[in-house]
Amino acid sequence: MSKLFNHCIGLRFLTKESVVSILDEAKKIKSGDVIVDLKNQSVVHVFFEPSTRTRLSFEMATQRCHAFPMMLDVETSSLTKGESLVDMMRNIESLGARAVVVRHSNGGIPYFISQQLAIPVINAGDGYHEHPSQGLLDLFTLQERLGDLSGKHILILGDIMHSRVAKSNIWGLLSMGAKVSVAGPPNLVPDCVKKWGVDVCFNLDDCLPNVDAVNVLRIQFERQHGIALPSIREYREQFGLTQQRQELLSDHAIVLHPGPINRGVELDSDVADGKKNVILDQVSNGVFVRMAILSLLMDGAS
Amino acid sequence: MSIAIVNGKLLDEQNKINVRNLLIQGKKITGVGYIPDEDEGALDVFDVSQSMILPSTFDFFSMPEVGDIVKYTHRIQSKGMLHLAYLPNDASCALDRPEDIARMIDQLGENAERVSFVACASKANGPNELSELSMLISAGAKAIYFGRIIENETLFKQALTYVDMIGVPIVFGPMTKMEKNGAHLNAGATSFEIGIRGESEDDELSSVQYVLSMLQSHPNIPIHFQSISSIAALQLIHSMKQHRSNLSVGVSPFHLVFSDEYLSHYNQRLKFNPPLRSSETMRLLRESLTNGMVDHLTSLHHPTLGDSQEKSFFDHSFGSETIDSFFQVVSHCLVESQLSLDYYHSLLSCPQSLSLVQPLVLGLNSNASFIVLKAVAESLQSHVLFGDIEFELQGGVQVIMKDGELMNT
Repeated sequence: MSKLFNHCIGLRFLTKESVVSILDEAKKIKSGDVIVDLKNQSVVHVFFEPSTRTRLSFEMATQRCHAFPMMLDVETSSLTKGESLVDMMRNIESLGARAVVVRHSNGGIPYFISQQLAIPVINAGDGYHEHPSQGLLDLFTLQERLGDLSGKHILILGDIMHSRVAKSNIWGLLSMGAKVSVAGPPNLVPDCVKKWGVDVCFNLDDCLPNVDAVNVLRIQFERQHGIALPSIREYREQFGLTQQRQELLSDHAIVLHPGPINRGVELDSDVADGKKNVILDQVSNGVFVRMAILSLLMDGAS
Repeated sequence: MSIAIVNGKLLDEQNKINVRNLLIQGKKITGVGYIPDEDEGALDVFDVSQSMILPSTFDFFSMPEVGDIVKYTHRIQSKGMLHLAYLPNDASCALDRPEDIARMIDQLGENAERVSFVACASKANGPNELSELSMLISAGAKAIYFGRIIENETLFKQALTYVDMIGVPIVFGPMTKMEKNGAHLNAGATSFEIGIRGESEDDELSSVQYVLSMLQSHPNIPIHFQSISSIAALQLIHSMKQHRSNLSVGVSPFHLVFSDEYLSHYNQRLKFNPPLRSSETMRLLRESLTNGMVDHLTSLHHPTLGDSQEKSFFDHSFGSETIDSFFQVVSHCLVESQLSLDYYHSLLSCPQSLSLVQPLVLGLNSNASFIVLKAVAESLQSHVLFGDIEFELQGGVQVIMKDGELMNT
């Protein structure tokens, strides 16, 4: 059977059929209906940017697919001797790697690598661009809790401008037929999302009662580049998901967060640890979703 | 074998457009108007009806390595850009040493009369130290180039005062601060979509406002903005022309046909400075062609520098080889805007404020070097631009001739 997709670079590049196939595969893996066996093929993980949960999740997913994860230490790699990125990746391919997982601080690097290599490239987050496996695990978790996402109303809250998670969620949710709203400080919510069919909300209290889920984003202090928030206290006042605001959500609504959480800023501890949160479900589902991506790209299901 | 170019329109000595026939033998034009019947069998005849013959097409061209000047000059001229002005480029070379200019003029030999060097206002095109401006002009530079905006007002004022004293024009490069700000494209929907920081059109406007305010006390310096990409900045410069006749502005034709939406798949070849803007700005820029706001169509051409190995959009330097597409795109823009043929001439010649080259008139015994640009609206044809972009264009290049030799038909 021909593959629906050859790389996993971003949800904007994936058809609905591809997204559904990944979510279905993840569901089968989680339930034990499918065992993935990648027969000890090597999957090279190249992380140019710090990562804890995504890196460990991909590593675990690779191992549980019976593949061999190889971690490249970028800081001691040949890049430091002046080798180009293209040359390094081609060498990795020639060594026999059967897939590459890449995280990079610059948008478009995994896309560029995918144009140069014949093996599947999986984006583990690139700059402000996308974080497709996070977007897919969010969809998976939402689907698990809410069922069919068509017509469901999902709010993405926080720094939309600098969030790769927000974009992967927006593309994925729209392709699944969900209604998507975004909320955050006006200077962190680009107006152009409206043309994609996304609603923009600046009054959180008005928006919260009408949504089925809130995906709260981390305020990315490291990516602000001069777009200053007046203060953390003011951000929390206007856009933090506090215990009080959580009360505005409907009974069935859930709260997601891609982590790491700035407790007391975008999310109060009472909410992060409260009944509505599915944050740790997201983390565990991440392994199944990443296994599904590897399986479908490397033909490993049995 | 002699060559006859018949029914083409060209500018005569009185600056009027006439339909003319040209007979070319060797490197020279040996007949104007009349093509002798007896020569017909020995003639290669090119009917160029509905086309404009342009003798002095002009390009602003970023600087290749010094050693490549002769080779690049030949290459660009073979594509129909007959007059060139070399500008410094902070990516490769700064034209900031008088001895370099003298050496390059020497290397070009007889080609030097078609080539102008525009020297860099500051050392290494940097923000901190001025070049030896008068010595650069003495060595043969025709104008001074500000490749980056000098934000230190005192230094900028000092530079302007000095240029004013020397009495040469200024060419301002892109009115952006992309490299300084870490931006790689226009700020907008596409930059958000592809996750790479952009710089807004407002930033270009602010830079133009700053530069124009600094120029207020130097009304006699001829000024050319090489490449403007936003409509508000273009309008501001246009409004300043009411007060200052020695002001001109260039726009790249690529900004009239491509928007930043073409970057949604990280097309490195369209990573320009100034960057491609939104589709709405592209439309407005094209309209500005018809209302006289644009004085020059600049090719925004950069040679391929250094190693040609592919780099990601993020890591790729600004600028790409536009020369192979330039005239096709120009012709398309002019045909689509229904501009008259004499307008072609003014948009492709050296801006009058700069006077970097002597205007050429094709007459008896003049050198047979020109380009013939078609103005045929109905000929919509698919072209592959930049190696991989399929684009439907009207009009185009009919003939390129250099020193009596056909380079392209």
